Amino acid sequence: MAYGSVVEYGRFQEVGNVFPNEMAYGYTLGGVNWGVLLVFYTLYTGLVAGTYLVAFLSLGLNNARYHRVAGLSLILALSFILAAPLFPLAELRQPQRALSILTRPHLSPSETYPGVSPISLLAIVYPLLLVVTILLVVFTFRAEASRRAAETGRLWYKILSLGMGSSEASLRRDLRVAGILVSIGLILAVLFASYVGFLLVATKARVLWIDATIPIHFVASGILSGAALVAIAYYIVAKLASGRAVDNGTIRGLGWVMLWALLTGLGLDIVSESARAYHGFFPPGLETYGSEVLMPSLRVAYYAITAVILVLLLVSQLKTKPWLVLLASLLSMIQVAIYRWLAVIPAQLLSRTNAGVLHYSVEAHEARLVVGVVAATIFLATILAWILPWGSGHLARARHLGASQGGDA
Amino acid sequence: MCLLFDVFVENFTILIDLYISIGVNIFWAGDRLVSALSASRGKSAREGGRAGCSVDSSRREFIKAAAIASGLVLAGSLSVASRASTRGRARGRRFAMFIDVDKCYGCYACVVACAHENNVPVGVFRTWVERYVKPDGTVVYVPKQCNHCDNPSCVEVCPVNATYVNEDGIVLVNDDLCIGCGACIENCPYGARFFNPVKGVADKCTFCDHRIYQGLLPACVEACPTGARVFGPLSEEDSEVSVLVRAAKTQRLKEWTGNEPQIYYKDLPAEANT
Ligand code: SF4
Ligand code: SF4
Repeated sequence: MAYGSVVEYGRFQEVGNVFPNEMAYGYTLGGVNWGVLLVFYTLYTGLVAGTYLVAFLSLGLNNARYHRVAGLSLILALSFILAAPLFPLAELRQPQRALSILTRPHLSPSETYPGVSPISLLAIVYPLLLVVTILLVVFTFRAEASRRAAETGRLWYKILSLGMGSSEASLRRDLRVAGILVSIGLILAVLFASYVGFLLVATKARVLWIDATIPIHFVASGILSGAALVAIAYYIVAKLASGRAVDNGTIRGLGWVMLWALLTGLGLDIVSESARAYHGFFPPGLETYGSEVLMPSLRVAYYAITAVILVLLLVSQLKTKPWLVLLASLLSMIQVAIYRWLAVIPAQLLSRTNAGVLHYSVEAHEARLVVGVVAATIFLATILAWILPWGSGHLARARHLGASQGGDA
Repeated sequence: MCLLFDVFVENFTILIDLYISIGVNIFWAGDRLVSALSASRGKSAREGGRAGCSVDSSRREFIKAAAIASGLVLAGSLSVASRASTRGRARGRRFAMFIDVDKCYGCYACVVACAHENNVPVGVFRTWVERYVKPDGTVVYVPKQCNHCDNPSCVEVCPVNATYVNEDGIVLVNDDLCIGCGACIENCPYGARFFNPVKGVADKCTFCDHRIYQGLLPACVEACPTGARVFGPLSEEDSEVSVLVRAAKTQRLKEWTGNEPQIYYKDLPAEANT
């Protein structure tokens, strides 16, 4: 028996030296504290940042290539903001107390603890993001709703128009306010996408989380997945709705955003892998378990998919073929999901003793929750897309109007 | 397809429940606020004050209350946050433990006594004893538990201040506040925390605070037949624990974390420093 093994429990022998409480999560063999639900949560928070960025390019920077998808991006952003908290909520052992994160957050540093709880940042970021996004939706769609209310007389449009008209002056004012709101919202969305990264990096008990690139990578890969999702949604909507064609400029613009986000992520991957190699990161004794913890096949798949996406996106910028971006978008969703898994799970599989390894496989109830929340998100997005007048290209018209009047262009 | 539909319905219900509960909470807070405002003006909300108001004035009141409520949500969060600070290093006595590894012969009396004293469920441990076998066959037993760190990383990450340091440096969990997020469990480098499967909240050693403030010793210390564990106030120079810590060459676990653990080991083998 090797020196250093803990042998009170026979089953420990096959996983090395781990703390007894690490075996106590109710899984068959070991397990992790934060499982696939947290993986999906980080995926959702990233999608919020990505979809917000697309909306910002149109509403904030007035880039004409994104006018067609700005409304759709906002709808997706709002759906993800509303649905995202369900994942951590389902992870909580006391979900009925969840609101105390907002009412008594641990945000004050003291002499002994210079830090604050990264989870508590949610108490500031989430409510503000939600309010700003709802206001943004109102100011983006109000004038068009007013016009439609006059045309169709539908109650919903009347409510959304806030009883105000759709004069050119009000349209310009709305767009100016939307421009300010989307800029504030983008900052909040970036914080929302990165705070889990800060939480992981702040966890000193896990050596594999000692990696400063994680929060930035969460934002970069979030932008990649967000732009990819907008491209997919736009493509589906354009194909499904009769009489609408896919606009090549829009798809190419989304491909451009994805390309930059992918390159940024790749740069961070290189920094992270080099730092790990340089520091010879793993404690002695880990070699036996190292390969299992690092999930090498998943890592290879991640880099292989990244290479394919890179080629597709580069070619799509040279040749106008929307399907290239669409394919890259589908692969990007998979790539980002793999990245989130690799960021969240493996670090927890290495025991805090650094001399043993735990196992984790997705539990049935977790899979059911993931499917359910994703279905609920799609449902929410569909309802919002149905009630909000996003698809009329009115943003492009409004911008054009603003430009021709010397307004906010 | 049917299963998908079931899952969808089940989870959509959770979503609706969540937003209803948020709505109810906001409504409840608003209602409390209106009552409080009315009471402060010397008239109870129930006593016809509101009933006698015109529609306009009650609407004004409502808008005012709503505006104040939303302001309070933000300001309240910040002010509660500033008040609810973690206290950090002990201001009173600094309780600590001295463990002489050489004296421990692995009888597990402390583990049993702790489980019995604190109703620790089967499968989780407030204290445990690790067994190491040297190449020459010698066996070393190392008792472990929460180190009641001076700079506890578990306290730092708790989002709701449910885990805190009492004035004598004991790190505790308030069962009524813990939301069960697991951040403290993740951030304890010593594996000392776990989810209590019965209570559904984070749990760990309390240095038997319910006993020591009655002048008793922690259950593990009392049960130890060899005196391998010594407990007391490190802040008092002539206490047994202080004398032992000063006299012996002691080590603490994973010093690199900066947690400043307060369990002092004598003769700790390097392999057990995890
Ligand atoms: S040993 Fe772990 S649980 Fe105990 S105070 Fe230190 S960090 Fe917190
Ligand atoms: S599990 Fe409870 S005590 Fe631990 S960090 Fe979360 S709320 Fe705080």
